[in-house]
Amino acid sequence: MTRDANNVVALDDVSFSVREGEFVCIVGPSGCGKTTLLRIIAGLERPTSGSVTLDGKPVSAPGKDRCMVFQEYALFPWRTVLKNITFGLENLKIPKDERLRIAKRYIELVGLQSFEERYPHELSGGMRQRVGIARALAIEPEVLLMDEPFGSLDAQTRNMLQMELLEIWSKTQKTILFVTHSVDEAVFLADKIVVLSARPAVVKEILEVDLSRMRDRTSMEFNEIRSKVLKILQKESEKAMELEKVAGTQA
Amino acid sequence: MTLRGFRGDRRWLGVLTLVVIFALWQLLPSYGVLDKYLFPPPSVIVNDGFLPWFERTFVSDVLYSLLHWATGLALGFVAGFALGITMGWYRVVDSIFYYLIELVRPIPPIAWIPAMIIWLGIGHKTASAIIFIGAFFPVLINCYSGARNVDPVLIDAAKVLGTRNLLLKVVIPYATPFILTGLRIAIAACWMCVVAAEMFGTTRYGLGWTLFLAMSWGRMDLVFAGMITFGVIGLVMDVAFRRFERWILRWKPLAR
Repeated sequence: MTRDANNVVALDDVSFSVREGEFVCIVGPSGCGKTTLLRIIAGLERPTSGSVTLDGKPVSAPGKDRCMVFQEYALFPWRTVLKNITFGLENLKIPKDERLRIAKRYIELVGLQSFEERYPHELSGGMRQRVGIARALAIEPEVLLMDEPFGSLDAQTRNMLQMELLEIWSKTQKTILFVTHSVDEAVFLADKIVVLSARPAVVKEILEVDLSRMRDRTSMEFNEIRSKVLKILQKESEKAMELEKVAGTQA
Repeated sequence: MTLRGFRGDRRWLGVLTLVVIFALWQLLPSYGVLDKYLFPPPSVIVNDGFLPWFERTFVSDVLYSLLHWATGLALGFVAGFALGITMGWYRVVDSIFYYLIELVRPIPPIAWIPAMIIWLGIGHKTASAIIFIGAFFPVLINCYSGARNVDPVLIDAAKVLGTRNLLLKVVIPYATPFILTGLRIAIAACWMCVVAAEMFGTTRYGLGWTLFLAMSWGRMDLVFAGMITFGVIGLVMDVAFRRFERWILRWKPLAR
């Protein structure tokens, strides 16, 4: 698929496929259009050309088969934790006690039992994102789209949430598309890493990460993959900078 | 906007100021330092101003004023809210009404009094119409900026969560603090409009009309009694509304 806005081609030729239940991380130099890609898959934006298909059916609008987790958490500040999680269920016209039952199950899954009645501003960043994940999972989508979900968390919280996410993933069997700029995070989480090039983005490389979980960030195999991805990204970042310089001299 | 006041241990200082002022107000006219007629002391305001008024029309004056206030405020709020939210959310509606609103808005509500009297005659309708204008614009402007400033990521979140009614589920809840600010401004503005509308004789009832009569009778005790009544009711409205606002916005962190 491709996408260009105001004649800036954000995504050029980006195509890859994802198996059911697979954990795919998308990495790329900053500004390459990773987020745009995810937003197109979510149905929040339309590609200029190309298509996204899920189980053979093309998607063009948001739907209950996909849900997104945002870097900024995007919780509704006027709703409690519980009410944030029931938000999507209300839209599905699920009766109230059923909604509460489902919501409580997901609150338990992310370990926020004693925070049901709290408002987002009373929670830490890590807790907020747990709510974001539970809220997305509650509508039981097939695909979970995650846009740098741990990008604004501190390193420890981030590592903890990565482990929790893997646990949630193995319990729920969801397909996860996870955009990140952290190569470490991608290698820790993914079955498959899609490396995008600098803008306009093309798929530079697809790597299968064949390590058993939980992965050891200090192991040799881990770091081999890590440095491989980093090298590609390094080259792409340099290319992006050069392009910027050229654009600068032309302007 | 209000004064912060009541800072810890120095609370008594503010109370002292009040005591001193009231004492001076009571004593200076009796000693002939201030003119007794122009500045009747509190005791005279109570005895000659308030007490006879209580026995006659005080209750009905208050009720009529509150009636004018509440009718105008309620109608102004509904209209300002509806137009403000739709203008803030739908760009087309914004384009349609923008110049019209900006042109009419600077006309002070009180400047509408002559036109309203001619259009609607003398009566409750006319008083309420002035007060309507006092409520309409502050509510409109605040609802507008609330709806206009909705955090786009919340819209995205609502969309991926399958919301069909963004206006009801995201825009209005998001705009609530703005809406309440508009309402608070409107409450005060409408109370001012009550004074003006009733004093200009849009009706023959209410506190404002009493104030006007007191002036024409040269009854300073009653003038002060009327002013104080306006002040006390205005204060009660503001305090009560702040409580209500704090309760509605309990999801919001307190601004420091």
